[in-house]
Amino acid sequence: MHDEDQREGPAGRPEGGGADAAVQGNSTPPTGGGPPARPSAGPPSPALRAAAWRIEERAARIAAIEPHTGAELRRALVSPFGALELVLADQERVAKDILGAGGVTRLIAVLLGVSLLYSVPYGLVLGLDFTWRVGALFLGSLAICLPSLQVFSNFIGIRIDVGRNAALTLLVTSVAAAFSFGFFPILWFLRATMADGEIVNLTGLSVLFLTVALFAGIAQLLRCLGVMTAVTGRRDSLWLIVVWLCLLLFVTLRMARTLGLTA
Amino acid sequence: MKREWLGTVPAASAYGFALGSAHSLDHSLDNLVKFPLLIGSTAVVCGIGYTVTGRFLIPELSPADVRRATAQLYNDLTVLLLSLCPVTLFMGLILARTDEGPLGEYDLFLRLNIIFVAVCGALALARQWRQLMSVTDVGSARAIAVLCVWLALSALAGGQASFYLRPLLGMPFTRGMDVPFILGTEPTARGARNFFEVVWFSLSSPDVPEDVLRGAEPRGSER
Repeated sequence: MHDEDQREGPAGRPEGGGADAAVQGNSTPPTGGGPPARPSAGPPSPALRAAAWRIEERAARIAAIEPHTGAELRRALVSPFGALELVLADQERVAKDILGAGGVTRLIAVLLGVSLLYSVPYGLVLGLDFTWRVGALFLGSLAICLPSLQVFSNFIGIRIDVGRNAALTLLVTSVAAAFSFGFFPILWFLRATMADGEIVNLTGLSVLFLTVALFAGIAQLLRCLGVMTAVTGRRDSLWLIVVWLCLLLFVTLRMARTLGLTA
Repeated sequence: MKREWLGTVPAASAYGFALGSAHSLDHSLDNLVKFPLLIGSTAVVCGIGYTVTGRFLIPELSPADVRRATAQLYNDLTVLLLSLCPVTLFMGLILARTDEGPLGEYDLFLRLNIIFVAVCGALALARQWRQLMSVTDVGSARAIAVLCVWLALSALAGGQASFYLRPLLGMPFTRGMDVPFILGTEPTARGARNFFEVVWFSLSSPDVPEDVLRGAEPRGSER
């Protein structure tokens, strides 16, 4: 795998002498020397030095990551699989897009497109009436909860505009939609081959899939926030997001009931 | 990757043949097709899921890497099972000649093969875990996470596929009966209507209803 790739040294390994110069340039070598210690604190333990080195290395790596260019986002807009890649495996660059000075309209369009397009097959497997409901479940819940995130962010002094908040939270819906796309053949297969029993039925399994998809979306949001925190050094928005995610989960659950996805 | 699948199909066929030996030659011959079908359908149905979850958990893995890794997983599993074919065949042939009562030692044979599949699956996963660790810079936890997710998806789809493709083993009292190639969604002898209920009933072990044992509904009583 990746045979052709010329990889850098092993990330996160303090003894890795092969780490690239850019990363090492700003960081303290893990062995020999170590960071200057406070005289009263004594020399830091090797584990502490290694952890500090890993944090510095990560910060340097993230700093080196470039946001998406306009052309890349345009390509993602017209290429469904490119958009899927962006949503699933590019969270560091997405975080840079959100933090950057440029507009996020194209990014929002990509995330919205993925949320809408990739949730359709799962809905179709559930039935023609359900085609739009999975997308409505994720996007509807988000639309209901987004104003509260925006207002609370501003209220506690986090200056972030609506577009960036929307882009950040659309990561949840787009990853959830991508996961539902990954699960739709399995759901179709189960639907085709299984009769509902007294203990396990298809609706229960579908709820399980959608829950996993939603939690994957939340995990991606938190990963993205982790990158943003590493760049800005500010952690004050984390607790707000965690509380807001609880609200989003509650609303999504009620929305699922309303849309007949749990009955 | 083609080479892996080319090795997987005959290995799966051979193991399927050995599985059917505890019942009858007809069962064994059916399993030549059914067991590769079970493996193939699971791989196809889970393919997109493997890619999406693999890319999500280890972004360094390309879709081609995921395909290669999962093909290798199935190949390892079936080759390991192939090595156990003599044991399964030996046990199956003995049981086919010494079965007493309606169920004979069906449960023993079933459990033995579940253990074989579990051990081979675990070994195949362990090898793939080492492989993932060596070719990407991912940590051990992420490699384990992605393999666990793949295992869960495979168990979900593969388990139901094995239910749909019944009878793979065949209960002894159905020997000589006209048993269809696949039983599909028909309930089992214990009344399970899908794979997940089979698992549930295998844990709670309810008795097989008397009317089923008497042959009142022989077509619905296979597993």
